[in-house]
Amino acid sequence: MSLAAISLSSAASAKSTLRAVASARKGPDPWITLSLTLENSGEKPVDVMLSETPNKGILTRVQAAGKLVQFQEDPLEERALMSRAGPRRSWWPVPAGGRWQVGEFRLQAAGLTFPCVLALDLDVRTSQGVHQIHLNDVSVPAS
Amino acid sequence: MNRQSFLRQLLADHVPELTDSDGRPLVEASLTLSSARICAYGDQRDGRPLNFPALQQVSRHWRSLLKSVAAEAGDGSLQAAFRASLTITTAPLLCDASSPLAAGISAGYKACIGFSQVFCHMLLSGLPPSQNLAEVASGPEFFQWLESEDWLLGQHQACAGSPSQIQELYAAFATPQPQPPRADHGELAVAAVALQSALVLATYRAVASGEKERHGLGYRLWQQARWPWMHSVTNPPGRDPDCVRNLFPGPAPPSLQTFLKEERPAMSLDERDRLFSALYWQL
Repeated sequence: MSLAAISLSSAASAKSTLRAVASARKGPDPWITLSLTLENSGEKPVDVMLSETPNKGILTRVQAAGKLVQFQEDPLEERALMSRAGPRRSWWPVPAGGRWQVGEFRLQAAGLTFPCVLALDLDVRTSQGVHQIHLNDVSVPAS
Repeated sequence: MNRQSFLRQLLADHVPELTDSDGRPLVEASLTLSSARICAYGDQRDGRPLNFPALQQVSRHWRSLLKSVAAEAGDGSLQAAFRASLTITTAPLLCDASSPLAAGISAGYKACIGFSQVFCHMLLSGLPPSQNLAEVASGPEFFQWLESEDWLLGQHQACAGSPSQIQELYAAFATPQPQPPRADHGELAVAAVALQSALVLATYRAVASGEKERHGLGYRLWQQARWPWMHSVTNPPGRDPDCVRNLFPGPAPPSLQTFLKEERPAMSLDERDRLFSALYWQL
């Protein structure tokens, strides 16, 4: 084995067995709190890394009524897992048939009216590569 | 050396918040925009902030740092390089916390933490521990590999070391020395980190297999410990605990062999922690 042969991530591609599940609630003005969970429907564990995008975490884009919503904070858990220097190295295994509660994101909802519906884009890095997941119809009730 | 105190500190959640005799923190976690410089080394780090005062400190102590690495480099093998980097990175734990840390020791920590992660990763990935580091890769090859694997990029800042500094330090690790390593805590540090790594990988495997509990020592070491040498243990994911044997050039220490022999995937987190603790405190 040579140095060139060892890598931090596998180049092999595999069909993702992950799906995202999100729920949202109206928080103290001007916030929305978004809870995000990943489910593994496959027969093997899937290793997930939170972020490739500095300061954005797994969540890359949120829209409400066609407008971009700003999100201010990654999940607390993510910040705790990351070091300031060096690649981010915190993987989490999602068991076969299991789920992983990623955490809660705070979204800035100034100017929105409720109820509203969110559309989310996520970049989920697994050991097989980055999977882009899009979620529509995440409802935020009026209260 | 107080072995129990050293082992206890190796299990702590955080590197101690020590201030060195230059007035700088040992853990450079407080990079401010006023002290940062934008990288212009001509590599992938260009345009990213780097911690310039920390770089200045390391550069001031550069000659003595190279001597420290040479004193610990042993036979210049990959395993010896890991041990040497760990020896220098853990040296602050042996100092009297009531007085300022010698700036040279602090600079050694800052210069070697990245190397300890990289060498650990190389060993756990299966590179031969006894192979001379210079045969594993030349300095330029090593640097190119660091870039290709994004080792030099952090979330908020880039590695501050210049390409020539990184390669010069690598060459110091790779140069065989006639004398054995000088410090006496290196061997214990490797044994302790190996046992911790085995526990972390076994805990990770248990969670991947459906373990629902979220507590205990193995879980804390994996999720909360900030020791830099533990960062690459679970990255890439899916490593078998048995790969920790490769942190040693010969047979693994008895403590690690016992852990790997008696640890079972079906164990509860508490049972695994107890097995670890019984072995760890006997190191």
